[in-house]
Amino acid sequence: MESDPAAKLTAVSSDGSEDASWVASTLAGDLRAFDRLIERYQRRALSVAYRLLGNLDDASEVCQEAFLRAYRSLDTLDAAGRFGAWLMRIVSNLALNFRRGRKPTLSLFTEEGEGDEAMQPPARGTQTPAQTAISGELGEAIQKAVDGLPEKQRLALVMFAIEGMPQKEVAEILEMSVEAVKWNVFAARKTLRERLAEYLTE
Amino acid sequence: MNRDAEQLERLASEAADATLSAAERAQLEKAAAADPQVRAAVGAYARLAARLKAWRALPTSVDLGAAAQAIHDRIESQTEFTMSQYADGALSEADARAAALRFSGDANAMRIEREHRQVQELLDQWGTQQPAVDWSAMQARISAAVRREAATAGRRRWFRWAGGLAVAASVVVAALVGFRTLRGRTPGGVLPQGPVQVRIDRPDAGGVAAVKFDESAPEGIKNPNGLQKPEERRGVAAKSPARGDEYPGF
Repeated sequence: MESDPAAKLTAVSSDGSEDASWVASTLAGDLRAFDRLIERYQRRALSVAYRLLGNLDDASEVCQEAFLRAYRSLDTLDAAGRFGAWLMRIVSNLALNFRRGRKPTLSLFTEEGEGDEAMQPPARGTQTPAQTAISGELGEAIQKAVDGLPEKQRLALVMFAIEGMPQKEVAEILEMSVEAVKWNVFAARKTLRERLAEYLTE
Repeated sequence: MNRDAEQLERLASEAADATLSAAERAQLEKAAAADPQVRAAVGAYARLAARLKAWRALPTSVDLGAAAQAIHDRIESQTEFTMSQYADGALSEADARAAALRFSGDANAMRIEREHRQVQELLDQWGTQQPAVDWSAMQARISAAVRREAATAGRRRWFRWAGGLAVAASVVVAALVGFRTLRGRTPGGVLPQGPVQVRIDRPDAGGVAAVKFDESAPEGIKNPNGLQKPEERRGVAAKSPARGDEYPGF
């Protein structure tokens, strides 16, 4: 397990101008510029997908598919500086679709000749995020409680309360008002408070 | 219903609400005195208003216990929301002070605030646990996938372009072949340009035909090989063809 709290906010530091420049360069045919976008957003994309899906295999597949879809549709992105929010919308939509059983059509992990040692998840039993600082039982309880939340609450909670994205950015990604984000996060926490009551100490 | 009748009906309706001006009331009274239909409308609207008023006044079955519970739940939910925001540090300084003051003596509110904070602490711990991923390798993997996608898209574009080119080339070749074929079958080797008129002069007297080319055709086309000028060809007599003969190029 890797604990890298600073990494999860890497993408937040962008003011969008670099993103816009990289998007423009990509559209002009410079794939190295898209590499920079991948480097900037892969952690957040994978992390959000992982929290939403609870499985690294699925999260990796969704993450990769999200970047591919973003690349294919890059010319439809109106505000190039908002690439991050746009990508996260793709990630969250793909993750939700994945959960509903509609898997992405392209899985690069299964392509012929594409062994992927680097992104293979740890052996089962070591990939649950709750096993170092949080006991396995509690980690599973949290994952189960988060999984049981309504979609909007789950997305708002994961992006704001777990990934630490600003409410305004979450609102943009989820296409709702900041107040609605606040309310969804609250409603999610309220549910978790009830479902995790036995783990909340006096 | 004409405009005046509509206006009077509107006045009759509003009379039931007692919202008419003095002038409107006078107008309605005058019309009602003169027209029994207006009087009937005034009466109908007055009765309708009375029925609606009575209907509104009917006692309805209200579960006061449920209503009180709903109000209580709403207040509690709002309290929880405020405490959740307080725990998040999402309240403004003034709102945070007000919330602290308001809830300081409220054990229930403080419990809610504590539990929300604990939930967030759990989520924070849970969120810091990242799966073991080699980010460089992951980037390389995605990057390779994007390059494959770009190459595939490039091939698709090339095939579209080549396909279009092939169709265009086929059309050109077909046109050239057709042109050469026609040229070989045209008198003098020149393909007539523009409309060609064929006129039969007195077919009953020897079957004489006249051929006329359009004079608007470019000179180089009309007479590239020293052919007769159109006016020279005009009126050239030829024997009427026998059945089955051809006039090449027509």
